[in-house]
Amino acid sequence: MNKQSIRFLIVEDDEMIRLIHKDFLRDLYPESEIIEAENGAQGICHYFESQPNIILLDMMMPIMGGETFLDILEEGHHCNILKNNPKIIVVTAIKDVKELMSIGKRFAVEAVISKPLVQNQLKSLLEDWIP
Amino acid sequence: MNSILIIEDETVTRMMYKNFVQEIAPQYKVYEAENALKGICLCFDKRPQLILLDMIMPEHSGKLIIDIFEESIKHKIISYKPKIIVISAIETVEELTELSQRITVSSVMPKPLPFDTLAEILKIHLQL
Repeated sequence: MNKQSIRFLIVEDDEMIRLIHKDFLRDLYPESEIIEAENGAQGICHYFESQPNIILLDMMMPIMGGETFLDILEEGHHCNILKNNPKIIVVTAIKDVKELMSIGKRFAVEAVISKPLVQNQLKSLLEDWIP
Repeated sequence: MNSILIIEDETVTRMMYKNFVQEIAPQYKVYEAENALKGICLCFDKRPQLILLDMIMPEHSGKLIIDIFEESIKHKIISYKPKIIVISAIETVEELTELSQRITVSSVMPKPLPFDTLAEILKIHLQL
């Protein structure tokens, strides 16, 4: 992944949290492009339109949640329709351990982080992917 | 190439629709999806002009696809806008009213499908 051409997608219904995550990313990667979606439905449209490299995904959202978002991407890869393989970081307020584990085991998910997201956590994760 | 997408979970029904569509519009390529998730991926990947959409399917219903396209249009995310023909065994007036208020739905057809009506509708939407 190239620092200059990196494209992030934030899928999160809470405007404040979206803003915070956006600030984190802009601070870490000032030259990156950051796209925002308020729910999974908007997120999936942006996914197809912009082909992001890294997605920060909330689970509980109106209209369409993170679960369905992941379902669509997994089905698309399963049927060999999708070529773009973004790294997905789930950022969630879910506290139930079993639920968190089942999200973490999903094929499309690279990492699961509990809310509130700390910038250092994000930094150390992204450093592995972006030289 | 111009194309049509059929989203229907029952194999026999899907085949029936496919044969029918190919007869009416032979110049169109026909794509098939047996569930809503695959349907969404094919929509964005192949960008068909027209979608025949079954509403009642296991796990994710046709409503998911309508929701996604409405968000796309409302927030001007993707300029692509297919014509969606919903095929549904509508049981209540509320359901019919709800469907006809959706901005992305071009037509609503009952199930079982009256094929001569579908032929007319396809001719109108595809300008055959």
